[in-house]
Amino acid sequence: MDPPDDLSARVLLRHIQDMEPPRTPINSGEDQAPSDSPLPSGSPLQHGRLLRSSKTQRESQFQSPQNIVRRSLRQKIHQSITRKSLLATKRRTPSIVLRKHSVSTLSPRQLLKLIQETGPVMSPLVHESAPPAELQPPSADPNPPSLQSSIELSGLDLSDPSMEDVSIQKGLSRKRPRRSLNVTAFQKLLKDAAKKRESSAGDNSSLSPSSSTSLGLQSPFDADGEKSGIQRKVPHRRRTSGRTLIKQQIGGPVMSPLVHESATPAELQPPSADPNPPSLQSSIELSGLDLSDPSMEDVSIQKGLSRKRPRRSLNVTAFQKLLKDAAKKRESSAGDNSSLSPSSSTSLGLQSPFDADAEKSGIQRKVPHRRRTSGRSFNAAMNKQQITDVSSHRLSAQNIAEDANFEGLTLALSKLSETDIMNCHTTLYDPQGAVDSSLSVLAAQDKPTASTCQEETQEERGEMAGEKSVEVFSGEDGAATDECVPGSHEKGKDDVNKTEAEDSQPNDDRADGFLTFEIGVRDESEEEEAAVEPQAEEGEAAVEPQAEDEGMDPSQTEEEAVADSQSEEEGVAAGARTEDEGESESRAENVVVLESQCDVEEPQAAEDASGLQTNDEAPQEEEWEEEELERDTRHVGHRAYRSEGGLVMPVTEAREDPTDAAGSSEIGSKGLGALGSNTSLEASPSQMGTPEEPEPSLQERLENEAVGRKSSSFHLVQVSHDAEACERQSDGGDAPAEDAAEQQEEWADDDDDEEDTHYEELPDKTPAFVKQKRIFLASNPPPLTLHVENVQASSSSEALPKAKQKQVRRKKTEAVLPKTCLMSVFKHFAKTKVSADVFPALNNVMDKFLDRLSLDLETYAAHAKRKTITVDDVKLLLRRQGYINDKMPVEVLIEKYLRMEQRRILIPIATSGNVVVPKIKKCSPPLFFFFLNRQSDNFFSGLHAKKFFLPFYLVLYCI
Amino acid sequence: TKMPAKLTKLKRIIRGKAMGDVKIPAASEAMIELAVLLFLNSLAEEARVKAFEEKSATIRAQHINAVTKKMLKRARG
Repeated sequence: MDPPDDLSARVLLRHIQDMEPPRTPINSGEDQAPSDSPLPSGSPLQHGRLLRSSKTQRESQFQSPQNIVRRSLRQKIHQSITRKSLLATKRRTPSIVLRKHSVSTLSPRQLLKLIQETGPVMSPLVHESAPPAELQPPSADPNPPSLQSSIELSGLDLSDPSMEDVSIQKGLSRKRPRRSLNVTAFQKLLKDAAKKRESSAGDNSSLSPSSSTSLGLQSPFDADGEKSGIQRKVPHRRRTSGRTLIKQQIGGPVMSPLVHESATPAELQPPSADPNPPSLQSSIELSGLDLSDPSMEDVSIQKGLSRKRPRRSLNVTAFQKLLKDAAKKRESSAGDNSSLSPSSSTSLGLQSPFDADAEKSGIQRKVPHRRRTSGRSFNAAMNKQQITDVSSHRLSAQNIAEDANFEGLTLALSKLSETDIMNCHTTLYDPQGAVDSSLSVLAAQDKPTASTCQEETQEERGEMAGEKSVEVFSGEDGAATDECVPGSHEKGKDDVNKTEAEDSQPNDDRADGFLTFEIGVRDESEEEEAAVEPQAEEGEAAVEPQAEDEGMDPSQTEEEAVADSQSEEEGVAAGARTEDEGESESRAENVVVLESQCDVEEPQAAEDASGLQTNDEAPQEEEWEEEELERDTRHVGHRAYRSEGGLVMPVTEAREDPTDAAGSSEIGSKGLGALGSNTSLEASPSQMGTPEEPEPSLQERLENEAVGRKSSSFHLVQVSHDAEACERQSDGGDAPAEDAAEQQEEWADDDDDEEDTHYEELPDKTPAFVKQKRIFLASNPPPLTLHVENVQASSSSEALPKAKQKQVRRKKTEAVLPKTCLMSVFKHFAKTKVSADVFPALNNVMDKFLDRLSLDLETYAAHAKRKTITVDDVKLLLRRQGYINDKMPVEVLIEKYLRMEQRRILIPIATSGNVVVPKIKKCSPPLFFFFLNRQSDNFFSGLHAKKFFLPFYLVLYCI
Repeated sequence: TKMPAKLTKLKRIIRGKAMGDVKIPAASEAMIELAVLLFLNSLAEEARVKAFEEKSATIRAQHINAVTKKMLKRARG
């Protein structure tokens, strides 16, 4: 797209060159530069840049005297005029201030404020900008009009066509025509003004009327933009503007059209960015390149789409600079400059709103309002300022400031329109979380519902601001997560609605306060439009009611805050909890909990990098569905008993755990990680091993929670235990589980102190298979004890979870032997493939083995009344274990399994000098020598001692 | 076949698991390591056999769990 456009632009430039020279010497000089540059389209964009740069340089050189004049004028203005004085003075001063600010990198807001102060200039600019948009379309066509009109703008024309193409592709062009109409009128006025200008300083006066007219036109444009995307309109505007520009060029004020064009491309770009962010951006960047600001391009590439838009404006500024130079050269009078400056300012104003729109589709609605206000204010200011001519100084200053102003412009506009406060917040937030916002925006564009949700979330942000930032994040995350699992959320919502509607009757004392929240939640859930909305709202509601009512609840909220990604889901769970508290509905809770669990699993997976979760989410979901069905069939009476959704959570998890065929500690770890927020969650993993164990643990959990809450519903909790046990029975379908459930019911009679008894009784009840599982899971027994201790120690559920988590981590991380070492050894011996999941089991085995080993060795040493474990002790152990027998001596095993340094320690070897290492303790060589001597004396009397000695010693040693 | 890396921390583990204070010289540590290696070897062999029985070329946790009881029984001192 670009190259042909460039070509056309070049062609246009050629035409322009032909056309221009007669009119203004300055223009001819500018035109010559492009003509000098090779027209061939080998690298259109680059050439255009180079040409531009060269032009600028030349112009700067050319204009050096003009610049001097400008400076002198500026200084005079500064000295003579203050802001309080006439509007003209205001214009100049603010522009200067803006320059300073830009140089010093002041905040965009300040720049915007300054710009607002200089508002009158802005309004004329806007007017001018509109016409250029119209002009551009023709250039897109290939550009007969552009050729005629934009001689100076040759670079601009190049960029414009590309812009136009993009806009055309997007099909946004509808709305622009309005602007174009306005622009055309303006252009006509401008032409008149330009003619006047050429003739004399009267140009300024003419400009002012044109600006006023343009203002009136603009306001309608703004309205249009509000209704529909402004972007569509832009292309039309450009087309018209291009035509008008041609006309204008015919007239004296070529400069103004140029400015318009620059402004228009910027405008066009943002809209294009909206529909097709990536492609549009690229095109925009290209256009920016055409404009001749390489630095601008770089920045735009690095930044997100939103930022690229400002770059566009930067491009515009560059154009404006070029235009200014040209204008200065062309027109000696300051009137031309003034016209140019307003145009640039207007372009800025337009750009900022467009940028905001493009960034966030949801915000677009509000943007138009901004434009309206800004446009009106600008018009008013314009009328004032137009009276006083503004020198070209403003233009340059504004251009400089514009770069930094883009963001600030949006902000300032928002400030102007108080109604758009929400939008302002959003805009403010955008730069901060540019990536997130952009991503979310993209997603939003794809899914209208999601976009609406985001808008709401943004609004919520504005409201919540700093306090509930966490929640906001959760809401954002929720957009993605919700998309991933929309079905489940909807289901859950529906279920909640049903349950609430049904069970609204049995309300507890607490319910009164919560009813309002619940209703709100219901409405939200009914809408189903945005999963994010209900979540965020639920989160808010949850926070509020929890804080109000129970000490437990705030703790939960804290946990939620701690968990970032989980906050959404937790928020849902919290909302469910609050609802439950209010209504005490078991089904709703269950459903919500299930949903929350579904949600929780995903973030947990992310959180738990340890890879504890080996199970697939899909089967769990299926299980949950089954559970839901089962619960539906259950007696409703139990609903009231369950006060918290948290209680439900552990139950469901516990169910899942036994159901999982693996039954390995990994699942337990999963449950732990997932349930980290809940106090009861930790207990579940420990219970994993045996189906029976989970039940008592559940009771313990429930009791703990009850204790924490200090609620009077111990009995209720127990009843719920019974219900849970029934559920488990249905789930597991194990006879022992049923027995355990019955036992639990019996236990339920006893409230507080039974925990210990439960724990103790469990082993008795557990049959052999339980023991087997225990053997598998060495870590299981300790957690149970720990859990009981926790329950006894801490009355609050909050403290419990933390401690439990720590303990669980210890257990998990606690490796009897280093993992790598153990696995390498095992793989070495296995001689086959070993799956990675072996380690937990292997670790358990080694733990038990080493326990037994250490006990045996210690016993042997103690039996010998030693505290030192000797080699003989280990040999004895190996002999008892069967590794050492008559056929298999120790030395063979040592040589086979141990490394050389160890072998050297254990097996005595004769080294040089008849030194045996290690020493043989039983009979040391010297003693042995004497012994031999004696024996030789006894047995070998008559033989010479020396003759016998050496060979005999050697023989004995060998033996 | 390269010898397996040294099982580090064995002494510490044993001393930690022992009821009382126990001294473990280097030679005894080597012998303890030998015992551990022998146990691991037998466990790996049994697990491999179990895996092959289940027509699995890779040793999985279930295989080890199935063999654990027998192996621990055999390891009684």
